[in-house]
Amino acid sequence: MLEEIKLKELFNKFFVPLCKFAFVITKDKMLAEDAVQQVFINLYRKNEMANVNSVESYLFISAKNNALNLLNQQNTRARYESNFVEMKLDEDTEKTNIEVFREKLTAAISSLPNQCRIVYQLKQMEGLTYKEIASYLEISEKTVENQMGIALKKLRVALMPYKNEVLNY
Amino acid sequence: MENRKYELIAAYIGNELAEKDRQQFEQELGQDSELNEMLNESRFIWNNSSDFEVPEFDQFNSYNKIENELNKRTKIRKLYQVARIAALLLVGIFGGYLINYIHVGEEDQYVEISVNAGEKIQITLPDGNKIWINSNSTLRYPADFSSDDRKVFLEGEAYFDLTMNPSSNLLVQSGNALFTCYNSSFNIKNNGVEEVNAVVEKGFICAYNGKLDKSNELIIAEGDKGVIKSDLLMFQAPNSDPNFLAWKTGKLSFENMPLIKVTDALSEYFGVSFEVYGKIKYCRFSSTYYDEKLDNILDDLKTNIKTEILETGNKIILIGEQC
Repeated sequence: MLEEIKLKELFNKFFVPLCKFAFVITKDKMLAEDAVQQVFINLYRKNEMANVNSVESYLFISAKNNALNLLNQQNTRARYESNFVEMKLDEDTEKTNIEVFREKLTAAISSLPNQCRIVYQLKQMEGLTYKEIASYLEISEKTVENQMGIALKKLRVALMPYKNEVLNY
Repeated sequence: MENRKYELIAAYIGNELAEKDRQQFEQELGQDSELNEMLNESRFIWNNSSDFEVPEFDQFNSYNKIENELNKRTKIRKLYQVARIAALLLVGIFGGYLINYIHVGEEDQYVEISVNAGEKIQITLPDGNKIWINSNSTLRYPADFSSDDRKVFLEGEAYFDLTMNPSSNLLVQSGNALFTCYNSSFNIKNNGVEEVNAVVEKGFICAYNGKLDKSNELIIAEGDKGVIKSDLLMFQAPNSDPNFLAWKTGKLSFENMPLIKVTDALSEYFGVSFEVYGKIKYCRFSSTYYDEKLDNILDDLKTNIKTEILETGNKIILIGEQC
């Protein structure tokens, strides 16, 4: 069984990166924390480390699986959709062009297809490499590349109408 | 193709292009003003997406939660700690007499044993008989076990060996089912799914549904399995599961058993879920294990049946078309 000291060490090193990672998937702070706690509990309980090559990718993959399970359990999709609507309604004429642009962009990002959004935000937020993203999400590097392309294309198309105001700004 | 252009742009911005590809891309940029515009706009989008708000995560609290969860091993706690000893002491001096009144009130006490996931425990009752309690199970018995009240409550699964003190009887309640028993050994399992089953290894036990009604009792004999459902249905049949006590003995035995039955037993024993795809479902497998690790059993499966084994975080998937 994994020693407690080792566990604490791993926890200190990976807690925040794992939470950020899980947060991209869940879009919910509590769910992200729960998913990450479960990673360490399972690690300790099941002694799953025995046949793991890379601790790091094991932790991230496990965080991803827990996050997806929690999402399924809670079926929070409805909640996020309502968030999204709120964001749209929250328009204000007083806002500067760039602020409006950023809001539209945030809305456009959250309306990307899920895998596409997750890949885009992971690259964006954590500065992970394609290789890391592929291994943590258990998809191919080629898929990561595709999804990034799709994300950029969709975002650019969605933001086309606001382009001129902002670029002049 | 347009999609490919976006892929290249994304990879360029994200610093993912190999040196050679990067040079080539930059060369194309010089010649293609449309591509140039696409890049600039994409980069603008990219730079502005970084506003994504990340909350502060609660590291301290999270670690505490993990520690609590890990320390929550087998817990033995006294329930109904109402052994309030209400002592009233009256001291008065009347005419040279000292008078003391002491009142002691005591109510029923139970001992409750909860066994957490991944743990098992064996206890010896005050009468000398033994009970093994499986993970995720709870057993409750009266602290004053010598009295007439010899009723224990079980949630989950436990194995009772009442042959140590053959003169001592016991009443077990689990869900809706009641069992009266003495000088026997048996396993009771209540998965909370409105069904309680009992497999008798030695002797016999009597089962009742809801209340101790002699006119409606089911005698479960040695080697049989009785099933008590909440809708007043009770029946028994010879026990067909060779591994019903694997959780206690650590012994798993498969004798010419179809793979899907093997994975059912493994799933139950190791607490992991399995999925089996393809014709291998009905491939036969024979082997016996004592306290074996799951990995080693999986290796054996791989050697005996042409199966591919995929392990995901919480599931093990077996795929194959040939035995």
